[in-house]
Amino acid sequence: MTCTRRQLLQSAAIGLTAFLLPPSLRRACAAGPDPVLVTIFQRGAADGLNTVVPTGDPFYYSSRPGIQVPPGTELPLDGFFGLNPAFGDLHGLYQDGDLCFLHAAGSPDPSRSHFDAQDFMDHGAPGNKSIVDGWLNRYLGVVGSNQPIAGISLANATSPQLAGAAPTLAFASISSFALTGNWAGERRAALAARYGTASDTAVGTTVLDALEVLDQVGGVDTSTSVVYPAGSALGAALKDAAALIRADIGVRVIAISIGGWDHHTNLVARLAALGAELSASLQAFRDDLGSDLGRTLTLAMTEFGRRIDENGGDGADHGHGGVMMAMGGGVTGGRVLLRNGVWPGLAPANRYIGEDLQVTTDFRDVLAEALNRHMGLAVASMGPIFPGFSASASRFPGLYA
Amino acid sequence: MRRGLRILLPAAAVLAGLLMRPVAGSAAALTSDQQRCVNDVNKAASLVAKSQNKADLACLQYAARGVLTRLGVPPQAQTAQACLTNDVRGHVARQTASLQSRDLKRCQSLLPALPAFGHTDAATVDAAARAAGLDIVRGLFGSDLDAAIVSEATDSDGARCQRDVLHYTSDLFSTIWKVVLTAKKNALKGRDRRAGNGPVATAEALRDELIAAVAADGRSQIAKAAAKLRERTTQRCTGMPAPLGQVFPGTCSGAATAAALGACAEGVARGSALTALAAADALAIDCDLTDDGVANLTCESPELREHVLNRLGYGPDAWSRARIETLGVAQYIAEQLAPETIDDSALDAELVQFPSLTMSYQELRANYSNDPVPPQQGLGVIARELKQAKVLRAVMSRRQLVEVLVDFWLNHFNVAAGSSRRTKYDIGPYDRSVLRPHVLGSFEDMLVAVAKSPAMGDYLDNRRNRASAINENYAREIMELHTLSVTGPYTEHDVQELARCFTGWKENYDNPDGFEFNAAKHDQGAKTVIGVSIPANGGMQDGLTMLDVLAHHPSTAQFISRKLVMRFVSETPPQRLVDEAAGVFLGSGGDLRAVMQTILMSPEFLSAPQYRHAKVKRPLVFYASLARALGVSPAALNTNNLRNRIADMGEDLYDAGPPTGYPDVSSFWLSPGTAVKRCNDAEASSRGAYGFAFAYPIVDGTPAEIVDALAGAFFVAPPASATRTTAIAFLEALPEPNPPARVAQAAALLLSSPEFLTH
Repeated sequence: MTCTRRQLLQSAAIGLTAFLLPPSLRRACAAGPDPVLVTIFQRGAADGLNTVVPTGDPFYYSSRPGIQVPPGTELPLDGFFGLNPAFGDLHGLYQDGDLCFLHAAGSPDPSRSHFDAQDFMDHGAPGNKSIVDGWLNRYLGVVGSNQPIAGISLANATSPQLAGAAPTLAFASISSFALTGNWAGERRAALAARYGTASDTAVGTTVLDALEVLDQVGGVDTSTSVVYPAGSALGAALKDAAALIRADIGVRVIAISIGGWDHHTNLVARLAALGAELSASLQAFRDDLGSDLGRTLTLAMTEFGRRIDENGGDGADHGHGGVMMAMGGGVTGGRVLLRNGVWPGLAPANRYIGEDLQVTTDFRDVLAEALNRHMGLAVASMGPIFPGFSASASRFPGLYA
Repeated sequence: MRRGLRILLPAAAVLAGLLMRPVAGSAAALTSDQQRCVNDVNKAASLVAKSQNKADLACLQYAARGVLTRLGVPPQAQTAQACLTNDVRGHVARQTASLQSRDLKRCQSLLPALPAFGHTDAATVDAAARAAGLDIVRGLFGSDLDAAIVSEATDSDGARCQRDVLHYTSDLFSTIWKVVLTAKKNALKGRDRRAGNGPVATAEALRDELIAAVAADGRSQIAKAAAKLRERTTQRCTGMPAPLGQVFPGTCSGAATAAALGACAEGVARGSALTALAAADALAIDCDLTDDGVANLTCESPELREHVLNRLGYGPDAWSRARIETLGVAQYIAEQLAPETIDDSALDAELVQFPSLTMSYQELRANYSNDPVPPQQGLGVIARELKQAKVLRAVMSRRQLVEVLVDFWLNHFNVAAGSSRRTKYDIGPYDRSVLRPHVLGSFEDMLVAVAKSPAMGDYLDNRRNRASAINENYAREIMELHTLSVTGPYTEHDVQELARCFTGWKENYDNPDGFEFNAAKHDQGAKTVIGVSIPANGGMQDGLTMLDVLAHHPSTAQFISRKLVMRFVSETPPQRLVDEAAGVFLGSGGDLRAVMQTILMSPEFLSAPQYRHAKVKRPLVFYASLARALGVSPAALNTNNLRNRIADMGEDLYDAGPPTGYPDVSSFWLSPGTAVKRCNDAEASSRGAYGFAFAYPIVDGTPAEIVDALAGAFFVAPPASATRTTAIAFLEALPEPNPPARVAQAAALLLSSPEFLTH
């Protein structure tokens, strides 16, 4: 049995995706364009409760008298949850079946330290400080990737999710990733000669990796008719991500961060601004990907959610459970996923340590399902990716209905 | 030059520090055959050295007795000096032959799998072993042995003194070599390693093991041999007619007493042993150790001076190079630790272009309001001027250490200027009045100043924290980021209790420090934070009490010391030094000058070559060091352009978003993308971008002349040979005909080298 790229794209276009095909066809399809995983880390602990609002839980309104999304202003999702209108652009994606939310999701680790919790999530190893490389890097290691182009951090610095032994790239933008100035070609050869003698150092391998892929990345066509939100770093990164995916040059995973979600004060206004940026950027990315949407799964995550009760300052302090998002990649969108379909509830008796939304969906179950159903990695191969965690299809949160 | 400085720590302390370094990942331990090669050749080398020492002693004795015929066999010259290399009895040659045959049998038979480290070749090892004996003679007697020799006939006591000192110095040398050989055997095999990590796998790890073994002297063999040397010297060389300086006109000529002579001779033996070791096995051992075996700044290599200028500041410039040359390393560091003694008026004169730098909270609000009537400057000007000033200070200030420390503490107590309208105003006074005065002062003073500062109060929301509505953001970060660290002994409950202590702390811009305590908003109830009971009705004292406790907590001492050691010494901080600095922190009540003194004068900072050029320059360091290396004129510097370049590289100055500030790890600062940017901006700088006005030290010449002249200007220590040769080859092949453009291209390449991207 054969599978052409066209077949795969057609199936994606009509709402089917590779995983729905018979297993034999799916294997054959693996020879087509690579599936791609894009992660967006909302750094600072995004407030899930004011993003995907549990309008059906009266304790939401009583806990947040000053910072609630006023009843009736939310955009309807599934009857129980409503979307903060600031995230309005996501509503269309949700209705189109391209986006689903996971609520009461996050890391089981109790830390309320941004920096520990981000590390734990980036490293795919909650509570384990001895793991210092990223889960995405270990994924590349497991699939035997030895090409830097396979893993890209769209930032100046390597994403902590991509840090580790497998070679990866990091650059802030495609346009800035070029050797410029006079005699660039001659200088490049001389740099290759010099750093070739330093290939046993981190500085040496970094420069050599850069020189190796300059032409490949520089040749990527970044033009698009889709308009990304002006002045948004996230939008610019996603625009480059779409171009890299479209170029089909061997990119498997892309890691992007968006900071500024730590809303101890003025949560409503600050969340509105960031929510609008995130939503518009994701919508543009979806539109820009076009026929590549089916092979591109985008996951958004944050280190933990915020406290249920509002604080002094019209904000909310650090909490526990939050919201994750999954877009494209053939996920069954238009749903808010809960573990076993159960909302843990905001009533005082139901709160984690009496204060927070529980985490009933472990983020690693979400990542494991993405790696398995989208990237085609066997569950049995995930041991090194999530140390101390036994991935199991029976615990997949159900991105794919 | 020996400066008689005593910064020496106990040997065991040096040892522990040197062992903390991780071994490089890709290297492998030697096979048992390779180990036998190394061990056998070393054993043979020690016999070469021993026979050379014996021959030297014989030369001295015969010369003292005037038996010239035993000094050489014609046509060899019959002088004492010539005798040293005449090998009259052929014993040294026999040991050399034995060494060669061992090398052939044990090592060359392994070709091509020769040991990757710990072994060079028979000729190199032999030369090193022979040189060791000559080193000792030269150390004691100078380079003209005949002139130094005391005749037995005229002064038998003096002759005996000379003989015995040489004899026991040689004995000490042999003992040290014996200890080294045993340690080497064990290190290669992974037996008895103090680090307990199995066999060493790199030359650097081997070197550290050997230096540590000599310092530790586990069975006191070295100590015994040294005691014997000192004892005999005192016994034989006291009360002689001739001044000691004439009897020993070498390195020890300054020794006024027999005791001082004995100590100096000990240094000669120790230094010769490490010199021979470095040469025989091609191990990079700093000259501060090879001169007298002790890390005491008696030798300052160019590499050390470059390291000091790189880490205490933003790289070498003309002034700092001349200054460290004049003062020496120890005094340069001491001067940097006393910045008030350094004239910085040239910088001050440039800084007047930024009027917002000196304004009070109220003046800033009066002058920068975006208000069209009367026309006002924009609010954004304040942070922009501060950013530009930071670039200028990094490039120009002679108080380089202060500027590095202000940057360190700004990141430690991070406030992002752009986070709110208030912080846009308050960031200037935060830098000027809250952090800057305390960077070499008291940690508690700085902690309290930060707690009262409007900038921090807004950035971490404590101004909204009140009895009726707790906001725990600041309280959490005081413990997690400012004092105890995330591993410190506190709970979530402690966070909430500490937040109650800081209710009512808020800004009042009418006060000079911008602070007021609002008792009405304070939670007056009793609290308990990390086991400390805070009684009810304490008011502002609640917070002050807790800042006092936290500032002097052992976890804080460890955390701060660790971060400082990471910034100044190594990103894998040697625990011995962290512990010592933490001890000083606690013992001095948080005196940051004392802590910095400890770190900067530590053997880890001064004498561990593996830490040099081991950090990737942060973007500000990179651009400032470019300007300093090129010798730019500050007046023309486009600091606005530069601060944007630095931001584009990921270090928006005064605007790190998260409260951790920017990470102090190289992996954050160097990626393929920023590597390309650095190479691009090095090239742009070489052609005078960013207002870089400067003159190259050479206008034309051969490729080698150009490269050497530029390298001499950019670096204190010569760059690696690969940097030099690739730059020369690049220039030879470059089709650019215009000499100044050729010089600029060579500069661009050198400024893109590993030596320049790191510090």
